[in-house]
Amino acid sequence: MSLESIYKNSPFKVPKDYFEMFDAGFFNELELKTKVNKTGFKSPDGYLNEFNVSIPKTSKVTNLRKLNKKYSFYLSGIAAAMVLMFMFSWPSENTQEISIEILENYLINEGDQIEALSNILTLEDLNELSTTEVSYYEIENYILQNTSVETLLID
Amino acid sequence: MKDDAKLLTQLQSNNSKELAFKILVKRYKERLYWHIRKIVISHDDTDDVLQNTLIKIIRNIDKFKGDSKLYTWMYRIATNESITFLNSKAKRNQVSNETLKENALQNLVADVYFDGDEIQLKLQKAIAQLPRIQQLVFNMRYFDDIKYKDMSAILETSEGALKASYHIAVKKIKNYLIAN
Repeated sequence: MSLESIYKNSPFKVPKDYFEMFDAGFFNELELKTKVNKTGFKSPDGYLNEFNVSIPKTSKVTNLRKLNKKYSFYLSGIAAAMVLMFMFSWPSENTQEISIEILENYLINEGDQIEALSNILTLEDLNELSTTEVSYYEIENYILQNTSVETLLID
Repeated sequence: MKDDAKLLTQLQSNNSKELAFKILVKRYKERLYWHIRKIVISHDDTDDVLQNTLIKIIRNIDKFKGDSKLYTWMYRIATNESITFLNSKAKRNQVSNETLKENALQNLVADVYFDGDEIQLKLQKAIAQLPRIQQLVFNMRYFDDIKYKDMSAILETSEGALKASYHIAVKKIKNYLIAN
């Protein structure tokens, strides 16, 4: 049996045009590597030997003080009144308009959080968000039903 | 690697975590440094990203399930941290990513931590012309000889696509060097 027939009958296959492509890729790389094969970057003397990681300490969790039950009813009422007062008496133009400068500064300063958010949300999620319309009535209703007055008082 | 499996067990145990982390830093700091350096270019930026990468590694080590190799997982974090860093820096300086890249290359000429010759500088310029994925693939394969299989785990891209990216990158760089 000739060598050629062994190859022809071999059960092993290669991707289409593999050997043609191999030559081009291989010789391109070889030629480049003969010209340059190092980055030229260097690190400061002793940098890697003296390298240390400083792990920032996580912030301490503070205990919340319980409200005196005797006054909590009155305080809740006052807080609820204040929330409602802010919601309805706040000048509407201030809540509607945000200056371009403020928006730009926010985007620049909060870039990291936006980056982190982009890792969580897919493009589909974002498209869905941008097409979702929420009315002022729904927002108002949500705040009234979900905001804890006690938490607001502590803050 | 067998050693990494043992190290991972120690890293995920509260009793040995601190010592194991020191071993991990000693074992991987250099490889991670050079991987990050090739992406962010300047030493000072690399130092920041390396710190952030290692902090992220230790903070998330308990969540690592061992689905991939420890080193490919760490490289993935380092790659993401580097890209996030560059994007944030571009936003902070209010410039595009391309301008940021051009500035970094201009600074390279006077950088005390770059002692490359003319051809090495040209090579960096040629790499900078490539799309980001091709830059990553080229750096990992050309300088570090990382296997496509591992690269596929790091970049979460198929081996076939990575091979194609690499060959295209080599061709583009070669053409750039000829033209310049």
